[in-house]
Amino acid sequence: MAGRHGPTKRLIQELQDYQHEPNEALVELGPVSDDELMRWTAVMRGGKDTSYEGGLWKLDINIPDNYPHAPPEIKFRTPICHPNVNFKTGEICLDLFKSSWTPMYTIATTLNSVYMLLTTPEPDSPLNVDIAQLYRQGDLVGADALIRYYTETYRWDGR
Amino acid sequence: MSAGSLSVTTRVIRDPQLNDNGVNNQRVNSTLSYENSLSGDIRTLSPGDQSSEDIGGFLYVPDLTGSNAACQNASVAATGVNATTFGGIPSSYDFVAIAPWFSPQCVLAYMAQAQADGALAFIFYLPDNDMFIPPTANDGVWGLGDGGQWKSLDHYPVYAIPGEQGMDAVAALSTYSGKNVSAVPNGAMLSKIYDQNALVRLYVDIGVGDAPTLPSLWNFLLIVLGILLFFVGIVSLAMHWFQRRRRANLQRRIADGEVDLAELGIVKRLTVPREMLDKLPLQVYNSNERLASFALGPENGSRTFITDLDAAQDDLEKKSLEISTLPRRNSDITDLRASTVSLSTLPPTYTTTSANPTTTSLGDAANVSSPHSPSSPITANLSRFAQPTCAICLDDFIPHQTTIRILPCDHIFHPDCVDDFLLQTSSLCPMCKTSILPKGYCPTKITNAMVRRERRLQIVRQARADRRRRQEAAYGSADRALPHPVAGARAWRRERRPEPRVSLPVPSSIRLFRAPRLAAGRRISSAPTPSTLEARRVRTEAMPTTENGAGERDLGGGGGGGGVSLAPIPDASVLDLAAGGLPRSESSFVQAQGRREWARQRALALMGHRGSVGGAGDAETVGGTVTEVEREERRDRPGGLRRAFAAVFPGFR
Repeated sequence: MAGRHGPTKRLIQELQDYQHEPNEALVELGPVSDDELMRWTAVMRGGKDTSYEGGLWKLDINIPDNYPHAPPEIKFRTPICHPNVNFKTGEICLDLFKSSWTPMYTIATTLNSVYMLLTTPEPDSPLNVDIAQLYRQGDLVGADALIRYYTETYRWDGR
Repeated sequence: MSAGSLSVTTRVIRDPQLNDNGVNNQRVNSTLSYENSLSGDIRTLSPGDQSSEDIGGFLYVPDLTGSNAACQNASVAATGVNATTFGGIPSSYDFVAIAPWFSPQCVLAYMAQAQADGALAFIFYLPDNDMFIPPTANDGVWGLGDGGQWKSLDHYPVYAIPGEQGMDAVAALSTYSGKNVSAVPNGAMLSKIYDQNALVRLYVDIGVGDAPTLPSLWNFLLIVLGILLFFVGIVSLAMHWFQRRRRANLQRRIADGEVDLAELGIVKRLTVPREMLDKLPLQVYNSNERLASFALGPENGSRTFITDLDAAQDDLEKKSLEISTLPRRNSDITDLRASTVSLSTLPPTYTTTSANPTTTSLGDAANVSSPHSPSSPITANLSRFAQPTCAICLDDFIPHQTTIRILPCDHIFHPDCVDDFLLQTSSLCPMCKTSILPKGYCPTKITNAMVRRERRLQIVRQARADRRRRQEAAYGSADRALPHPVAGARAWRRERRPEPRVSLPVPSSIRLFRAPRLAAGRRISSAPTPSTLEARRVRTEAMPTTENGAGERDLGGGGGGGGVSLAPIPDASVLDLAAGGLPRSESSFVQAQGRREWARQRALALMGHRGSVGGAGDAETVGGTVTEVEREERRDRPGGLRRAFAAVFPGFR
């Protein structure tokens, strides 16, 4: 099916699923426009009782032609302070996007994994060295403060 | 041939033109004549192509009049007008030429002339009045502008002697060139002994072969180098042999099914060959009526259906537990299995519907998870029905219409969807990450990185087992106090099923959301308190990553062919494993050691020694196996020097 119709059908299905059952991690999720089904955008919120609480981040999602055999390309558009996210480019370091991808992940579940990553950073393979260093040295209070600062400063305001 | 010694003596020869019977080729008493002997100061410039015989001949200076007049003038200036020439010696004798090393043209002219004269050897000297051994043959002094080619042109050997000796000999040549005996030094005395018309000439003996055998510095270095190379070779050979044996060993164990390729973290990159894929059963989707009603129910929302199904499954599991405890049910089970083996064109309905909720003992619970459990067929069927949609395209299967591909783990997909994936992307089931490839299938070459990986996994597993044993001893009592729905099944849980199952074919949102909060609490908290420690430890234990995966695979592989198996139901923990980049094991493990350990860890981290502490811990992130082996192999790839080193000393880290 995926082979014949391309990802379009599945993406529509996913979109419907999301609309039926919204996601607590996401404020919104959908294609950028009706013509462009291969480029989605999402707004993620920070988890309650975490350093990211109250944050809002816009994410760009680029879907490859061979989706779902290949993972979507997800980047933070709003700067986020996290050991595994590049502050400038928004690139996310998560093995789900590389080796661990399987076609049964949807855009929504993938974003859930990113949401999970927010609270379970892996400072040993950092893309943001500053915050990773705080984690590595065990300065959790410092890390928390820094994250809260950035979360406050760069909250996505809906443009 | 290198010359070891050179001695110049004086000999008296008879002029063959004057046909008398005087003494011939006789050595003149050294007290009355010139004699000079050199040993060790001779440099062999070109060995010529002579054998290792000593060379002897009358010395002369080649005459360049015919070939190069300018050089002849220079030659005469250096050697004197009277120096013995070719014509000065009867041609029936042997000759050895001697000349100063001038400009390259003159030297070449000399050598050409000597060749023409049939000289046995050529002795050169640098006209600098030097008394030391001339430079080595490779020295620039001896360059003739042709890159040393002259050495191969001449058939006679070429030697060099110290300039002082050479000039001395040439000076003597001038004195011993006269037509009769009386013209030479001590001529008056000699003419009494020898015939007046005899010729007195200088004769040179070049001792070949007995060169000083003391190895020069270069020889010494070469010998040392040779020994070094020899040892390097031996060590390299040994290491190669050792690695080869390990590889063979691993290959054998993979073939025996002892080791799973998936554990080595390379199975992800394997793909399924076409012919193997074609062997996987294709079937028309043929759902059980009752379960189909779930799938095509009025709600049609897959989530609600799944929770229903989940309940049904839990229900069933209780039944199966019961079955395994009650031997009288066995006949039913056998029937069931038979029908499943025949690939259920008429799928079995649940004949074992009598549900007497029973309390199960620990032993029974363990029974369920064993691959030979009689409850297998039921679970297998269930999991097949539990999948009303294709996880790849999210389309529902239409009963009696859709063709489905059944993977060995009993997950079903549209052939169109899953075939491409298996052929091109991966050999793992997209749902449960069980390998499609049969046990022991080993298409790739076993690399050293894989051997290392396997060994490290073994060590980690060993360490983990030890740690668990220790913890068990320390926390045993607290562990027992944990609440659990099935009190007796705790051991079973720990062994097989880490979490209460959330058997959704898609990752459960509940499960996904629970983790971060837990983790968040852990992260931000300061030093762990004993109570949170407990919770964490249990949590960690409940998610043994590798063992858990292996256990599931075992179950799946047990009866893969006929579908008679306890199918690995897609399990949230497996998905968790998939998203293995999320840190869990290291920090929680380390922190589980208690407050003191935590403090130590932090102190070390501040000092920047984290790596040395987490030696075993680093390798524990089994979730990232693929990347690790890849990284390791990548590390082997670049860098010519490092690569060469790795080739010579495989396995050296």
